[in-house]
Amino acid sequence: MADKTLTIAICSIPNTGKSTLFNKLTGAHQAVGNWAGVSIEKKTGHFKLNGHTINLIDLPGAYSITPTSIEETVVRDYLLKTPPDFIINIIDARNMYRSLGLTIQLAQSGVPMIVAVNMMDEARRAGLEIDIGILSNHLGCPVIPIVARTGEGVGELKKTLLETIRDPSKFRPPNISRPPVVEDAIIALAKKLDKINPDPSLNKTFIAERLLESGELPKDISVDDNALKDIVKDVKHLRLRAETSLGENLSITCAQCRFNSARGLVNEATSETIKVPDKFTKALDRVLLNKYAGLPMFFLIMFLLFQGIYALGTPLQTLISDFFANIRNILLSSLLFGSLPDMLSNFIIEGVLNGVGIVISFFPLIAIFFIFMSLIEDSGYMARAAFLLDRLMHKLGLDGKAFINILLGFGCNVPAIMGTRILSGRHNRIRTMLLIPFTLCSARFQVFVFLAAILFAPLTAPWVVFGLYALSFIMVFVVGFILKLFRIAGKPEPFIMEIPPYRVPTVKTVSLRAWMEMKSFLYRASTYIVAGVIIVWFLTNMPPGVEQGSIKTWAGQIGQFLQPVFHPIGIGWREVIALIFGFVAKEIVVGSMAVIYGADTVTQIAASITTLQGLSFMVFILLYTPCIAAIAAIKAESRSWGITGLSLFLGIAIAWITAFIVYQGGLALGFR
Amino acid sequence: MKIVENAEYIIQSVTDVDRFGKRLVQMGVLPGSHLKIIRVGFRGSTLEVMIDQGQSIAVRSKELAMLDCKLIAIPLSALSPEKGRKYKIKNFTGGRGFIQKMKNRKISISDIFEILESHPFELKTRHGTIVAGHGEAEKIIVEPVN
Repeated sequence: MADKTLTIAICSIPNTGKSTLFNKLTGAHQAVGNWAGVSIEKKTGHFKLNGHTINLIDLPGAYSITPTSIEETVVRDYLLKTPPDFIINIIDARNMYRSLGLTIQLAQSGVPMIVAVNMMDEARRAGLEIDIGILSNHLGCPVIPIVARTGEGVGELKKTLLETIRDPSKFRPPNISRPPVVEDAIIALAKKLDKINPDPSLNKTFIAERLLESGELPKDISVDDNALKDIVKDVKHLRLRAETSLGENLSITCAQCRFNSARGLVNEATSETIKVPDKFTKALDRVLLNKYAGLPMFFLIMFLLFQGIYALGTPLQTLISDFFANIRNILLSSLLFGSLPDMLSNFIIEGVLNGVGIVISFFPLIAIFFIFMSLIEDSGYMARAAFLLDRLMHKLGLDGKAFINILLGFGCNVPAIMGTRILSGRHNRIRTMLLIPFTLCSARFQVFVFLAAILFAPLTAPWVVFGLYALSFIMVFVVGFILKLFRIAGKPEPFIMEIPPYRVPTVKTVSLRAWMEMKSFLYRASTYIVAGVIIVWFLTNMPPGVEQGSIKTWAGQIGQFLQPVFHPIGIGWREVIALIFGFVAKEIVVGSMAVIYGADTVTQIAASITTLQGLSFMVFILLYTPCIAAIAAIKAESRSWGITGLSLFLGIAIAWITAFIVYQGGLALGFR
Repeated sequence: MKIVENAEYIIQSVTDVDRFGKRLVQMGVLPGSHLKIIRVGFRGSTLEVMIDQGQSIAVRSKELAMLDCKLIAIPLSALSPEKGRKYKIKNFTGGRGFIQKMKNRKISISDIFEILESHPFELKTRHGTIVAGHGEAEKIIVEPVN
């Protein structure tokens, strides 16, 4: 048999280990893109199977292909428009009923399918026995028990896949019973569809059911438009007749039929079906979700988390920057380097080396952040925290989970933005992403400590920094309320969040997660960051022959050009250059001021900036665009230049307005 | 719809416009499914609800209240006097001591009663009028009788 190139889609409900299996199968051969027309991540990968090339597509998590969310619409449209050669469906061994609704829908599609029953180890531990033979018999396709995390059963899955590729004829769609009026409507419609012959790999009854449920098919599906229009008329009529006779919405009847089958199948294939939350979970929830103790416990846990991140992360970050300082020194003292033109050596050190150094210095923070994050998530506490904070965040049109991301933004914006991936729905993700840059991260904190010490009396300085923290919190809410007035990233989805039982996270999953996040940070963000650092280097060093950071550089000229804009908020051209540097990383604002003001920086700054101007400058730094790594993370996570642009605009606009109020208000009150 | 801990409902129907209900349906929580309110969050806006498979989900009370549900169990403490309205005792959530105390007061499972007063609770049963404190009423789960 000739070797083929085949497309296989992995499709399952959320939280069944879909991505873990995808990673196990494809290894490093992955690419990330967008689904056409929507900013939802499309992950593809490939692997070889006995000479065949398998293109694997990781479909977004969906409860059904009767869409109630954007993700589900993507899945339905994909299956109807470009049916894959095979489907791998994953079901959760611990709660099969929940997963089987989608499995039954997919099994009816006519596309050959293999079902992987994942998390068999946990099901076994819970004393649950599953009769794989019965499942396979009823679903009419091969069913393989696996543990995606450890790779158990994945070999068997590949072997079965190969057998199915050789002989797909074994596949037989399952029968589920429906009320006669629905059955008749589906058959009548399927017959009509037969005539216009849509994609031959799909069952006509499957397409007919999709049409009846939602009354529409995705645009540009491969059938004749006019013929389809004709059929849509029939659909309306058939739907109305069925709904009148049943007294309820057809999509609900269809779901009911599916889940009735699912319930029956679970009863038949498992030793027990009902799992009551364990005693440990109940007891722990009594404390952690307590009406009065729950929130204080949450803040205590978050406080410890913060302390942990910084106690471990900061020394590591210092270690890395020391390492880069050493490389810099070695380079500077090397003979080869000395023979290079000044401009080039400066570019290599201040531009390239600096850029790479910044990227790498984020590593320890990201690793530790995600280790803690996956500890919270895998243990089951994340859902509890979301439950506790939901009321507060709902006021901003978000759900409780977003609070954790925003809170962690106070540590470092970058991993906080990357962490928005765990939020449900694009609406939540994008809005949270837009709010995180307003949090006072540790890099900004360094700038404020430095400036406050110069511009304010020793007793006042800590209060100024504290005030900036308060302002940051307030601005997150103000911007949240402003964003709520606009329609960004679609409608909020109904809030339904699973609260899993508590579990002890495994070292393997936690470390794997941290590793994957570091890799993804390196892959996605590093190019933007290095490019950004290089651009800023050019701005602050060009044209050739001028002194770095002086008024003659392009940055200096931009600073002067922008002077009329910054004058009303009391910021001079020198500070504008520092702000341009701050775009790369907030930490280097201080260093850049040293370059700009030259010798005796502290006295110079104290002499040329008034207290009020300094305050306005700090407010502006707090709120204007986050560093380039954060912007790169926003671009990578939102998968949209529009949202990235909006974030930049929001930051600058809100920073200017707030600084204006502070500066002009201060002047009016007689401060200077 | 009364949102209190330990209240139980059965979903009756889901309409076409109800996005929350439709999403529940696609997750396998269908008309006819049980919902038990396990926990009411701070100031009542977020709830922990147990669904048929023993699984917990968090939902918002506003969205849940829009669902067409039938009450099947509620703590006595959440009710108020209403003439002619009858309830049946379904179970007690207290321990053995509490059940004995109720037994001594001639309150037992399946008893039908009418609420006369709610602070404290005065119940009219076939044994006469029985009084229960608010704390006790929280542990007495009742169901409406048609």
